[in-house]
Order: sequence, then structure tokens, then C-alpha cells
Amino acid sequence: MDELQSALDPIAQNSRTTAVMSTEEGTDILASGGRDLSPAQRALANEGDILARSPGAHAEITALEAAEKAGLTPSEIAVSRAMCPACQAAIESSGGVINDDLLGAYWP
Amino acid sequence: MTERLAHGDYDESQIADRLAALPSVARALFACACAERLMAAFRWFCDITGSASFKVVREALDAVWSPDDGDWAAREQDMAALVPGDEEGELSLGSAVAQNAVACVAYALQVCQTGAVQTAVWAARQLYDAADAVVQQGAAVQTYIEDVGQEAPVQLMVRGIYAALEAAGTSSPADLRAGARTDGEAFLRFVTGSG
Repeated sequence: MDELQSALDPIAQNSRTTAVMSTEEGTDILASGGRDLSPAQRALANEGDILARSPGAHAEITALEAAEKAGLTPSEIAVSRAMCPACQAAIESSGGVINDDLLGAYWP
Repeated sequence: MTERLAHGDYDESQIADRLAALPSVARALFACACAERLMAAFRWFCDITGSASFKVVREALDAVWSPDDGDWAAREQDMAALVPGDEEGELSLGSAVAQNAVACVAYALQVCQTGAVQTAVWAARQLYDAADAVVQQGAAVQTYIEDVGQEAPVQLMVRGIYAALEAAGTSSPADLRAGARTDGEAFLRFVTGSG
């Protein structure tokens, strides 16, 4: 996740949120909030990674939606900025448990 | 450190090498020319959203174009505060381009103060990212258009970056600015869907 965030220029790093979700099936989902993944971030994807895109949605929601669309089961998510209450609620309603630092979650 | 992006004709390592061969004044002019290419779209964004940011950002960029107006550090801080965040309400295509426009002016201000090559490369990246945002608007949800280098908005901006690189060391600031404004108006037509 740090690598994905550091692909951005310094100002973008301060204004955008990125997320990496791992899944039980072994596929990773890369996501960014709002305007979605930049070209530099997309260039970092490994073969088999899913590049999530949902314009206007937060990174966490974008990743959750991508997992659902692909029929994948989330196992963990890490985000570059603390999750907002709405994203926490969405993750919890999908069975996730939010980490104390609000920078990640896992699905037990 | 941020890795340099190379995609199609857009190659940040090549841009950095060419910037390194220029004097710092020319690097600053290059960054200004990048920022100028986003100002028409930013003005449009501010007009439709009622944002008051355009005047501040416009004045900051005018200051960078004018070597006598050197209050750059304070203006740079102003710019950092004006970059719209992804979490601020509903995000539109215009706000993505606005992020790039304000960031580009901030980088131009930084280049004026430091002459740093990498900062000028970041100014160039704002054009590429803004053009990518316009192109991706046409993609279905949960998909990306992959070969953005073939898309007209990206080609316009990449041509503009290399034109600015060429002109920064040889042309007058007035000519550089005029070329950037012409490209900026063409880019605005892509942003508004009339291009």
C-alpha cells in the first residue's frame, strides 16, 4: 500500500487515499478514492491484480465493490488514511473488523 | 522518492534529462507553461462550482510568470491549502482536473524557488494525470481505458509538454504562455465534452 501511495506526486499523496485489499482467493485489489488510480499507480500493478474504479467513491468502497463484482472474498484491507465513519460502516456490514488505528480491516 | 512514469510517448526520465540540461529559469518557465495549460479548465471548474479559488490561483501563476513578483513561498502555501481533496463532497471530472491545476501552480512556485528538476517533472505529470482523468471518464465502472496514449486529450498534453520543453530554453515567456493558453483552451473542450 505504501508503494501505491508513494507512486503519487507529493501533493497528490496528501489529497488522495489509496487502498489495497487482499482476498481469500489470492487476488489483490488496488483502489484509490475519488478520481481512482492514477497512471503511475496503475503501472505498479502486478499480473492478476484487479484495478478497481468507481469514480467519486472512497477507496474502501471502490475496493469492496470490485471484490463483489469479481466474486472475491475480502480478507484484509490497508488504507493510506484513516477510514471515515461511512467506510467503517460499509466494511463492518460486510463482516469486516476495523483495526484500532483505522488504517485497515480484516475479515475473520 | 516517487518513481518516474514512462507510458507511451510520455517518459518522465527523458523529461527529467532534458530539464536537467536547461538553466533553472527555463525549468521555471517550463513549469509555468504546464500550469497555464490547465488554467482554462480550472477557470471553467470554478465558474460552474462557484469556487472563489480561481482568482488566487490565477494571481499566483501570474506571479510566477513575472520574475519581479517574488512572494512565492507564501503563495505556494496558499496553493497547498486550495488543492481539492478526494474526500470533499461529490467528485466530478472538473474537480479531478482542478486538483491537477492547483497542484501544478504549486509546483511551478516551487520550481521558481528551488529550480529542482523533479519538481518540474511533477508539474508535467499534472498534465498527464489530468488528461488521463478526462479519458477515463469514458470507461465503464470498474474498468480503465488502458492505452491512454492513443487518446486525443493525452496526446494533446504530451505534445504540449514536449513543446514546452523545447520552447522553455529558446522562446520568450510571452510566446511560451501563448502556446500554453492555446493548448489549454483545446483541453477545456475535452473536459467539457465539446472537443
